[in-house]
Amino acid sequence: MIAKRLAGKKIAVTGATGFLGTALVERLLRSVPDCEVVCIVRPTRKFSPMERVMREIIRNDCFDRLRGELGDKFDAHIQKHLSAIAGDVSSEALGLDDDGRAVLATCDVVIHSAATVSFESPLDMAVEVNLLGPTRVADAIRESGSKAHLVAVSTCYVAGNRRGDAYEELVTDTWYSPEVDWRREVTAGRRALADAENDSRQLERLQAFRKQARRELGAAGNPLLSERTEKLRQEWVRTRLVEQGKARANSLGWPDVYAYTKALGERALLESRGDVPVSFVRPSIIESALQEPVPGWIRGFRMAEPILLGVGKGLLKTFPGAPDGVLDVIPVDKVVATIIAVAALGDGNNPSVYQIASGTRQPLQMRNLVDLVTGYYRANPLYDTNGQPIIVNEWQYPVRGKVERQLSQAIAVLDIGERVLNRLPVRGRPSEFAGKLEEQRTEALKAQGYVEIYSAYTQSEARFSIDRSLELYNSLDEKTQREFNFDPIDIDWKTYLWDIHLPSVIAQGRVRTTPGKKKTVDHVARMQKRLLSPNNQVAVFDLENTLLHSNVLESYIWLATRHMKRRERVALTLRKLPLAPGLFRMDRMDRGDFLRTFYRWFAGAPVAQLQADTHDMFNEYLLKKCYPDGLARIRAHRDAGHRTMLITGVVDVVVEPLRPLFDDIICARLDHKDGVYTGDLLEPPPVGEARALALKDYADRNNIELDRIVAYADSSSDLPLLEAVGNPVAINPEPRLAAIARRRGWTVERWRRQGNVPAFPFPKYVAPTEKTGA
Amino acid sequence: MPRPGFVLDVDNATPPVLFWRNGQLTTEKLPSSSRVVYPPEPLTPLIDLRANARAAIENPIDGDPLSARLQKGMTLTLAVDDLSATDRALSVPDPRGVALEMVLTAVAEAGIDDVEIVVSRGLGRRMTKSELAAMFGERITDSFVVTPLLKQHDADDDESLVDIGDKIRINKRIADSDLVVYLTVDPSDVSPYRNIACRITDTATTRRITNTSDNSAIDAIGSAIEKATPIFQVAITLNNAQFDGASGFLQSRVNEWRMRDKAAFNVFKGVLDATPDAVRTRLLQIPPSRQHATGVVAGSVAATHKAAGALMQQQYNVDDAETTDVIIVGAPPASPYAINSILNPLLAAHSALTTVVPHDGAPSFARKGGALIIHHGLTKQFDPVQQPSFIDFYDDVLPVGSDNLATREEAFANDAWYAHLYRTSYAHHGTLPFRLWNETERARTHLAGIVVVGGETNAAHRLGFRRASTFADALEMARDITAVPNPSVTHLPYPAPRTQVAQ
Repeated sequence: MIAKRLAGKKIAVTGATGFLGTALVERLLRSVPDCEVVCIVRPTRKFSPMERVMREIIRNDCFDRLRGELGDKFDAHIQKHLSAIAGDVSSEALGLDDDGRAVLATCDVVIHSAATVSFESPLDMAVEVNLLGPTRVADAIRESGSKAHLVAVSTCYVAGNRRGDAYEELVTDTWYSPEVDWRREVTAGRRALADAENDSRQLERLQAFRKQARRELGAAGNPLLSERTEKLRQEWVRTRLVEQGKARANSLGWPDVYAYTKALGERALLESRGDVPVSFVRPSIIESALQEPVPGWIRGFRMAEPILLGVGKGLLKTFPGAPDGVLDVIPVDKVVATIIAVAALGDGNNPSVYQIASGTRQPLQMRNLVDLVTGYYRANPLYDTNGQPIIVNEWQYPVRGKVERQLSQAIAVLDIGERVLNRLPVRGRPSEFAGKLEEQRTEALKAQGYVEIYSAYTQSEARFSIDRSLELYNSLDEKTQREFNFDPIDIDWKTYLWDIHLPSVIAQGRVRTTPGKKKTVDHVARMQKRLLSPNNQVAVFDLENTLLHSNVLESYIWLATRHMKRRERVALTLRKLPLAPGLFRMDRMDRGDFLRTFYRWFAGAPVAQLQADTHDMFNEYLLKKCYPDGLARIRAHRDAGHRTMLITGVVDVVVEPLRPLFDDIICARLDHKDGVYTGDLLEPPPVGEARALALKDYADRNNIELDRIVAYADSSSDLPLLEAVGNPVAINPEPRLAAIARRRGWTVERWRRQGNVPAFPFPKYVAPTEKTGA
Repeated sequence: MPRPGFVLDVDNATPPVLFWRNGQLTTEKLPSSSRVVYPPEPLTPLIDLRANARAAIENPIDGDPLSARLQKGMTLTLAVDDLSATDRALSVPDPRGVALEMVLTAVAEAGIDDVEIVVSRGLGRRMTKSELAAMFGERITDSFVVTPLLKQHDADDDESLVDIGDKIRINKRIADSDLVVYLTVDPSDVSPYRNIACRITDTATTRRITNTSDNSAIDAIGSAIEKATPIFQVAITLNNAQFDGASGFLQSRVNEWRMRDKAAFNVFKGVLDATPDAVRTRLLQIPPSRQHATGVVAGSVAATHKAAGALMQQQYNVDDAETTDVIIVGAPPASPYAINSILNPLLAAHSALTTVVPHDGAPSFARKGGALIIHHGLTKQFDPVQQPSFIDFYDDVLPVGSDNLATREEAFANDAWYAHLYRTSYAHHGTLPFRLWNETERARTHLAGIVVVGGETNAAHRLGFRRASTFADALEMARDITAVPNPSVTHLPYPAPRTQVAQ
């Protein structure tokens, strides 16, 4: 019946790359064999509309069933029945070109499913896409001269924070829907963006962003700091618009910006549709498929998934919502079937609303949901990184405020912990602890976000009537009913959750479902194999704290006190000690300045003496502070045929004894005159972004690809260097780098010292006149 | 008069005996009817080493006295065995320095200008300035180390090596000399030429002979060198007094411990137990060995070796007709290659194994097919300065097994970084771990099984040993290994005795 009605019809779809859109396109191509589907997609810089359709829709596992059924004929079928035109719902009249308009003119149905479904969308974006989108589609239809029937996908929650029945009525006919001038809301939304952009560029704000970027990255150099600062500014603008959107939505009685803009979008469409036939389909919360194309099919992470996974991971022990409340979830295939039925049979000239929800016909109570979900995890636990099953806690039904309070307290504590740790001069294991802190904070923040956003839905007490949809369903013949089943009555929630939805969510969430400890040995071997692969060409090493557990200060003390008696040593220490905090601060701000200040102390040292002394220092002191793993790695790179390179801010005379290990050394170079060091550097020391630049120059000169370079470093000031290469490795990272490496999935290695190492860098006294020998 | 060696038969009344364990002390009750073989007590040292040294060089065992061999205008080289000649650094004044001063006096009297000292270190590490100063004393240091007329032999330096035929390359200065005075300490090896063949030759030559316990090959190379350049050898023998005074109990017989010894033991044990690993290894290096010279002989290499050997036997030999099924040792707390450094697992194993079954073919207390229990927890700890190639040998070579040992050794020998550290820093030669590992070969084939008590399981397995968590378990395992229901058990204390049984 439906297939027959739609046979030979041309159906345009917006939002085809989304969860609902993909399912819709698949269903149309599979179950309405004689129709033609036109996807209206936004072209990207890289891909044309059709390329996007092929990459993002046809390749999805949603099409596996159709591919299996058609076999060799699949490609031909797609070619014949699917096309794409360029269009963007955030542009006036979709920004169609002449070809696009021509295609649209021949369309019989337009299904508008494009939306920004995130509850955390910034106000401006939600206004452009959700509020203005439907109107623009209607404009485009009118302008193209098409007589197409517009099926606009909306949401049940346009009813707002309503208690009691919500009927399938046009928003303009609903007594409880606030009368809002949508045009004014659009203007206000756009102004909010301009204001936020403006505010973000205020002097104090920019300084604050800069400060925060520095706190996060340390002395990572100007380009990275600027990049981060700008990113922080953009994030700030976005956050502010998200908050404004939420505030505006709440002020009018909607739970979030999504429902608010969707509701106004319906209103705008009704007002501006002219003679374009329009029908509305309002689903509730769309979740994975019950039957079509396969049970459990889902695309991307939807709203309830993070919560369901959070429960399994033991992160969520509680969630606002009354045990007798109803969570209105509807499988995606029911929604798709409704849309297609409305497209085939609906009469758009008298706009009407079709709601598709489960709450009235087959309600899923919170109590029931909680029992099913916790029961499932007890029967099929997830496993933690140690391979131990995670025990799901007894569920609690607290009041809303309490959960939020607990979470914000936890976040505050973790925040302080992380800041303190970042300021401590720790490395290696403790700094990985910082990474864990950060991870916990992120998790807590996420949980807080869920509570804020979703509690509106778990606490919603609206009952969505689906009478008109059922009426439509009942008008179908039996065969069509079987084919396009959108009556929620056949959902068995236990089967749906246990056999379909949760397994699908868990598979998507890539969490561990098998016990037993992972074999880390394999991981280490694989990592080493990758780093030492013959495909790589160069291995670059930082010196201090990467190869050596030491720093320039210790070297200086060693060299300076070598020819001193105890009393002089004490005097020197006392003289330099007050400078330490200043130096420490300078090191955090700009390593180049720090080194320059510091190397001035070498002024007046005789070259020959210092060379002899550094030779001894290397053998008697620095070698003991070397990480044997590091030296072994350099040599392993050499064995693998790679060039090896040292980049360090340490001066040439000190690194000289390491020369046999490296093909190239880029280091600070001390100037000398008449056999005495002047304390000046010949050129700026290679620190921060200068390292990345030096490396890029080097790679250019030697015809080496940056992707084929391995770089080892320990601190966030090496970030530009690590970012520049294809294989960054963080060695005993300081907390900031540990956090960054963790986020970016960089290799992190812990190298250990070996043997008994002197605790403090005081050398044995040697008379200053001594010649070198032996 | 020091008492000769002594075999203590353990019965129920015997107190627990002392073991060195990874730098710590422990006691263990030995099973009844086992035996402890104590070496002779330290021989009385020479009262006036200077006089004895002077007398020895003027009255050599064979050939002309030194003064008769010295001629004005000749090129003279004094070669001196380095620190690795003994288990621990000797106390100051080092007998080598004292004897060398006597030689130099004679040299000065003969009016010879062209004199250099070569520290014959073979594949061992360079000595530091303070070590040289301690060994040679102030006067020699001032006139030789600083100038520098003292050179440390370098087995990888093509410029200071010369071919003397038969693919033997030796130190050029020595080859060019009209006379070499070779000063050696405690020449305990079976072959008289081992030191000469291993310590002043190049890496290839050294590797050729150190990888074999075939003493005739060593003799051949040694005599070739002796033919190429005349050698006047001065050999100093030492007693076995590793400890004395308050720490004397460490080598005295446990059944004779008095209250004072027991108290000292408890104090020592307490201090060592409370000290962190890193500090303890350093702590143990602080008291130098109490060994003192018991004799000086001079003459040809063969003759001095024989004469010194007799004194050595008097100090170390215990006439014991029995070979035993199970030998128990603690790993010695020292090794010639761990002086001022760390006793890494390989060195600990090497010391223990070569004590029980000497690598040069000398007889063993253990019967063939017997078992060895090392009461020493092996821990993975290395000195990054002195033992860089040991770290890689332990991590990369040992786990793979002995199949391609030769190719790996070749790679280590050609490794530029090891060579750099051996030549300019204070690292042992890259191939030294292979040599030491090869030296344990005889023990590993002689014994049917080796059990380590305690320590890291990985370390024990990597070295091819079994690991027992308790001493009792180890005895049980040894019983299985030897396949004897009531095996005879012998404990060798530190310093260990030697035996002549097989000869």
